[in-house]
Order: sequence, then structure tokens, then C-alpha cells
Amino acid sequence: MSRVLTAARLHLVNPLVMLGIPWLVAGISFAINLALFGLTDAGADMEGGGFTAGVASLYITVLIVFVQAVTQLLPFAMGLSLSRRTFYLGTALVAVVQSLCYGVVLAALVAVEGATGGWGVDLAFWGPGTMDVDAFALQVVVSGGPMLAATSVGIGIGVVMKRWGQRGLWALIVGTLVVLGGLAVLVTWLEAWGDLGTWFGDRAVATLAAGVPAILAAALAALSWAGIRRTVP
Amino acid sequence: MNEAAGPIFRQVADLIETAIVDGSLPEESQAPSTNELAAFHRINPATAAKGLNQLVADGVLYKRRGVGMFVATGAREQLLRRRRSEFADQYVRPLMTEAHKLGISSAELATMIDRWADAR
Amino acid sequence: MTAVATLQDVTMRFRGHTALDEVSTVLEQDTITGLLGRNGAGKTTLLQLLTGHRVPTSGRVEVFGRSPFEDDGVLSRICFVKEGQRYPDAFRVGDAVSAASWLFPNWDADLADRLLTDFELPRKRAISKLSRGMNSAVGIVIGLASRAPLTLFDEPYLGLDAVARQLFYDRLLADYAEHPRTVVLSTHLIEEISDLLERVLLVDRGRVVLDEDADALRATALTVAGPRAAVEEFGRNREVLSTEALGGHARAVVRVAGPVDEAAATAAGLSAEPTPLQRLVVELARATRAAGPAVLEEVPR
Repeated sequence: MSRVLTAARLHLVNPLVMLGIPWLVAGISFAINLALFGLTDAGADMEGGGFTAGVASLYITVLIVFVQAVTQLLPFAMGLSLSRRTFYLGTALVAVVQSLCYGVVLAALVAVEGATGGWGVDLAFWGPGTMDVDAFALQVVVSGGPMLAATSVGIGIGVVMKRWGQRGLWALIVGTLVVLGGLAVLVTWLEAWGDLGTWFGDRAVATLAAGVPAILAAALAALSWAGIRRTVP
Repeated sequence: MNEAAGPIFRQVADLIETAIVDGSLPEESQAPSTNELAAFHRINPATAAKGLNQLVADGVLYKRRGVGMFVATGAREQLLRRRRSEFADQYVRPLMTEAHKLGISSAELATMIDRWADAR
Repeated sequence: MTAVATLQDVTMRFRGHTALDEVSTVLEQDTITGLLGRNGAGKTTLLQLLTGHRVPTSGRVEVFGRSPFEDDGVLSRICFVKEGQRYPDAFRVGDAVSAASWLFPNWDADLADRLLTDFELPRKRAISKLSRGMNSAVGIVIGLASRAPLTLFDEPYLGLDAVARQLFYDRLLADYAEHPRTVVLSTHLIEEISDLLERVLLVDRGRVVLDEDADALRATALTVAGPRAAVEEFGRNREVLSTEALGGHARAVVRVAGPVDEAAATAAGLSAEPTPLQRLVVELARATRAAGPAVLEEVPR
């Protein structure tokens, strides 16, 4: 167990990279949005206050950080005689704890956002649109769930890059496009877009923002584990 | 160490023997330790230990438990005896071989040795 | 003697290319073994098997009595310093050293400090900013300070100058003398380290060519020189690894059984000297290559 904790600790050797960069990027995005909303009354023009997808920058940056957490740290960790399993568990631990903490921080920011009337300019940055639910605990889940998904996607991509290299990454991109495109074609062919929309509409935000990412995270975790087993540093 | 000069452990033993013979390592004094020898000659400690053990087996050194290796009383005499017995084989034989190659007779050789001894 | 690691009939194949072919060897406790061989001979693959970084195609690998693959109990007792180890971009020298100190139970912080000073490595310096040689030095510091019961160095000196390499050998020897452990040194700078070795494991094209006590090994081959006819005569009933002749004078590296052969050589009017390890390894590699198809193969890393 202590080695799993040590593996987790390796990720935090440079907290400025692991934790700082995502918040720096999201912070800059927030500042730009705040300035835009303050200068243009964009928020007031929109019904129910304005929102932007700026918070997505936080999720995407976290994803990239986790790609690097695998590609850069796995060779080093294995060089220090950690088993792949221990490294994997340590990384997963960081991903879960970090997602939970980020969920709490985001929920707090959403609460402030609500209390200050969108930072005084009707800006819904941290909890845009339907991502804004009116209960703190639920907000933690709604904001933290996709974060967990982002970390697992990052870990998954990292494992693919380490195990199969550049070629694996291209195969992954092409494969993903083919699968998503195929699904789109299938839905169109079945003329099921309406049904799909209704289905999503019928789900609660909690189900979509927490359930779907949780299933995705679990599936990716299993795939990453399968991939990392025979990775040579 | 010089790799072409035979097994390294033997060279280590030879160097200690030489020190005993020339008196720089007197009888009943402490011989260098395995680690000292390893560090000084930059050799594997196991090799150094092998050299020391060879000397123990020959009765040149003896172990004092927990202290180290010491030069046995009578070691110098023993080594001198051995080296004298090996002298002919190690030094005279190559000398004679070379002299023979150059056509120097035994008598001429003897004269050379006398002259060298006088000059010294 | 206790075996720390055992390889039994280990074969490692990569897509039709055989990197190791039926390799069997034992690493004894508290020895320094030189893992020698040409580039692509299979040295790195062998070390990767010992650290569980790879799994053999067939055969058995055991370290401390268990398979090293994914076994943290075994792995925590192994330190593998490999050529061109990658460090995370943002890591400074101090970060890498601290990380190592968390993971190796026998870590010696004082020794690490001393080595950092010896190799003039500033803790605050980013590893990505280090020269090739200083990068190698970080691995050497970790490898020595880990005091791991099984420490593997895979050509750890890349980019290090002669002074720094000598420093490495000296520190290794000094610390090894105080804290004996099992060390494997994979290298092709044989001459520099031959005196450090207790055992020699020579691999060539995936096969073990030699697995012997270093000192005994030197005595197994004589370099004889003298009149050509006498050299040829001496080699007639013995295994001759190489012969060179210049006019009537010839020199040969000949495998021998013992002191009897040396006496025979001297009696035949030849000069006879033990063969230095480097020369022996070169001649043996050449001899095995001449016996098999002369193909140079690259091992995937």
C-alpha cells in the first residue's frame, strides 16, 4: 500500500505542473470571459444569463496533464522499480482524489457564481447551463464526474502512446472517429436522432454528468490496465 | 593491475610478499585489509580477499579474529627461502636463454656478473 | 554461495528475431558480474527480464526466488540504472533523487549527498538542462545510493568523461566493499572495469559464450609469441582463437587447460602471457561469429 501512495506522490513532485497548469489555463479563460461579459453586457442579452464553455479548458488541460503523467512518469517509475500495477493504482488514486477535490472546488465556485449574480456580470462560467444544479453535494458530483472521465481518457491515451507509440495514437484517433462516425450514421439511418434527444432529455443532469462519465471511466480504466500490463518503459 | 602478469589475486599476494621480504611490512605487523587492498589497487574485494587467503594458506599471514591479518613470525625467512629456490628458474633461465641467443658463453656471463658486482 | 537471480533456458523472441536463445545463468549473491558483449548481443534484453520489464517467450526467470514480473516485493530490492533513463520534463536533480529515496528501502541519503557533490550535480538543476554525461551521473548516484541488493547498471556511463567514469568505478568499489551486494555491470568498456569484476558473463547474438570467474578466465587463454613454426606447433592440438604473423614471427591466442600448457609453451621457446579480458572477449566474439552466419542484428529497445 505504501508503494501505491509513493506512486501517487510521484505525480505531485511538481504540483505546479500537475495542479497549477490546469487552473492557470482555466483562470485565464475565466478572466477573458469576465472581461468580455463586463464590457459587452453579453450576459444580460441572453435569456437566463449568459454561459460559456470556458470551463471545458480545465477539463481538457487536466486530460493533457494525465496523458503526460503516464508518458513521462511511467518510464521513470519503472526505472525506480515500481511495478506497472503499483504505478497504475497510484495514478488512479490521484485521478479519483483529484476529481473529487476539483468537484468540491468547482461546486464552491458555482455557489459563489450563483451568489454574486454571475460575478456581477451574469456570467455562468464554472457551472454553465445545465451543469448548474442547485445543491452543493450534487454539484460536486456533476462537476467532478466529467473530471474523472477526463483523467481516465488522459490515462488511456497515455497508455496507448507508451505501449504502441505514435502509430498507436493515430490508430486510436482514426478508430475513435470511425466508431463515432459509424454511430452517427447508424442513428441517422435509424432516424433515431429525435428519440436519442428525448432519451437524453429524460435523464437527470446527475445521471448524464456523473453516471455516463463513471461508466466511461470504468471502461477506460479496464482498457488502460489491459494496455499497461505489458508496456516496456 | 597488470592483466598480462597473471591472475590478479596472485599479483596482490606477490606485492604483500615483496613488502614482507624487503622489510616494509615487518613480522607481527598488520597486513592491509581486503577493502584497503581493493581500493588501492582498484580491484574487486573478492579478488583481494583471495590473495590474502592464499597467504594465510601458505602460513605467511594469520588471522586475528575481529582484528585482521598479521604477518606470521618466520614469514620473512620462509619467503626468502622460497624466492631463493625460485630464483634460478625465474631469473637465471631467461638470462641464459638470452645469452645463448646472443652467443655469450657462461664464462663471459660470469665475468659480466663479477664486473657488475664490483661496480656496485 | 546463494543465488540471487536465476535464468533457466530463457528465450526471448521479437517478431521472428531471437534476442536471447536458451540462456541459462545464475547470479551469485555479493558478486560483481560483468555483462559483456557487442551492441545488440542481448545484454539489455537480459537485464529487462531480470527487472520484470519484459516477460520471456519461454524459460524461467527468478530473482530472490520469485518471478520479478509485477512483484513489488522483489522489485523493491532491485535497482536498474539504464542507459538514457528518461526523467519527467519538469524534474530537477533533487526531485529524481528524492523520488528514489522514497522507493528504495536501503537508501543512504548521506551517500547520495556525497555523490551529488562528487559528480558536481546541483540539486536545483533541471534534469532536462543537464548534459548527456551529467544525466548519466544522476542514474549512477541513484544506483549507488539505492544500496539495492541487486543493482544493475546498463552502460551507465554514456557521455561521461574518463575522470567521471573512474570516479564511478572508485565509488562503486568503495561502497561495495563496505556494503556487499550483487552488482551487474553491462558494458563494452571492458578494459576499464576488468579488475572490478569477479564474474564474467559474455553474450553474443543471444547466446551465453562465457560464464566464469574473471580471474580464472584470464588463465584459460594464453597469448603465445615466437617463431612461426613453434607457434603453429603449439596450437596444433589446442583451440586457437586467433593467429597473427609477421614474417617468421607469430602470435596466437590459445585456449589452455592450465599451468602445464604455459610450461609447454615456455619449453617450446615461446613467450607466454595470460590474455587480458578485453582481448579474450574480442577473440571469443570473433571466433563464435566466424563459426555461425555473420549477420549483424539489431535488438529492438
